[in-house]
Amino acid sequence: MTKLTSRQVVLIGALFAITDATTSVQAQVASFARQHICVVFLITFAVLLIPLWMLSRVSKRFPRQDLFQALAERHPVMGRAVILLYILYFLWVAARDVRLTGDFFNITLLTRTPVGVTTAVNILAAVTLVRPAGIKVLARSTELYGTALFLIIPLVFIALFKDLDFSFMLPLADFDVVGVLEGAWVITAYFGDIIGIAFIVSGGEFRFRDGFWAMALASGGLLIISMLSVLSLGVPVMSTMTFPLYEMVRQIRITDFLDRFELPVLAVWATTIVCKIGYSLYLMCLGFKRMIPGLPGQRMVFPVALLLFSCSFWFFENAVDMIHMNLTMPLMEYVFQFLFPAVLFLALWPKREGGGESRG
Amino acid sequence: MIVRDLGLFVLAIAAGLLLDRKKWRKWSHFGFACALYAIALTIWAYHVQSGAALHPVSELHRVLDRFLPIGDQSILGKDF
Repeated sequence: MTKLTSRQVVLIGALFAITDATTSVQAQVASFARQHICVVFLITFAVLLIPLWMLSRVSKRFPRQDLFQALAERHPVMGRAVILLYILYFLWVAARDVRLTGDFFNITLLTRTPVGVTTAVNILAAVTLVRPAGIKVLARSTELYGTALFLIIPLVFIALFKDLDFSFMLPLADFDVVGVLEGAWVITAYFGDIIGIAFIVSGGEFRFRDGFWAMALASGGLLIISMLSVLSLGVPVMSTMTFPLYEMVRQIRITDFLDRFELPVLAVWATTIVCKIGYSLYLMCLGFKRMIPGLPGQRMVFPVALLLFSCSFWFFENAVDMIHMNLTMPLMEYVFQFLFPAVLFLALWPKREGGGESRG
Repeated sequence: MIVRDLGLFVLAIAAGLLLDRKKWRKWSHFGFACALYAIALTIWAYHVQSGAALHPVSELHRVLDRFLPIGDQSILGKDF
């Protein structure tokens, strides 16, 4: 059983939440919440602490097991059914990430490269990280690239400071509650992927404190970046762009030497999204391993990766559909991010010594 | 085009089988891996051959879209 340090768990959680929330969904959040976009991230932060707390309590009840293992042992049939549903959920998350990244590179940088090639390279990179040593290599990669991603945020702030126009924040008092809540509805589904860390960290070591700091880091980071985007582009422009954060970074010119600052930023971001795909891949293999006793998880990586490749094309019709889906898909995602953690919290209640159910 | 896409996918499956050829403790486990490969190939074949008439998540989105009151303010939507 691989032990993860507290810092690794925080960074993994933050990457789970932030990486794909920086894409086109930002335009929709800006169009809903307008100049009050920062409130959206505060709501998301507060709301997602609930499932994280519940999953940390469940994890503590099984000190020598991961959540999938606990499910399969306590409820052999229903537990396995829930594991299968979570495998499908992580397949969906990974397929979305793969397709989003493929479409993004196809639209912005590699316009003549087929999406299939970009997608295959992404998945192959994730397989190379997961297959040799499971979570160990992934966690160390996250320490490197996750740290780099979060270090970029103050750098962008410094580079953009002279271009910020604080009048874009006005009128401050014109607060649209419904718009802010709609923005929170859209973005919370992306941030909600953070529940994956509760399944990754095994042996009852997932602490609520780590989940809290992961959420704080992710929502704080994205809050700053989104605010920078609003202050540099303005809400009307930001909400009509496909990738507003990318366009914001493209504005940065640090002398002639770094006039394409977006390339190093994209290089770091792409690596973090490969890490995230790797985590979803790892969770799917772990799920299969717990469902079928004795099944070698390492040998499942390649078949699952190929399944992921074909599903990333089959699931979604086109890139525009993926943007529209941000409005409706949260309904399905919240089942896994809020409802199931509550069900697990109750279904995996500790047993009393005598055999009956206790209330403690 | 279709033959090339399918051929590359079959090649990837062959590479996967070659990588994991050793140390299968049970045939049922190997069978499970093959079943996953078969599902992946079927989905891919359906996607490349039919131009994929049915996209499950897109269809689900269309169904849910009728019931959700949330506005369609996407990048293609509201004009300020």
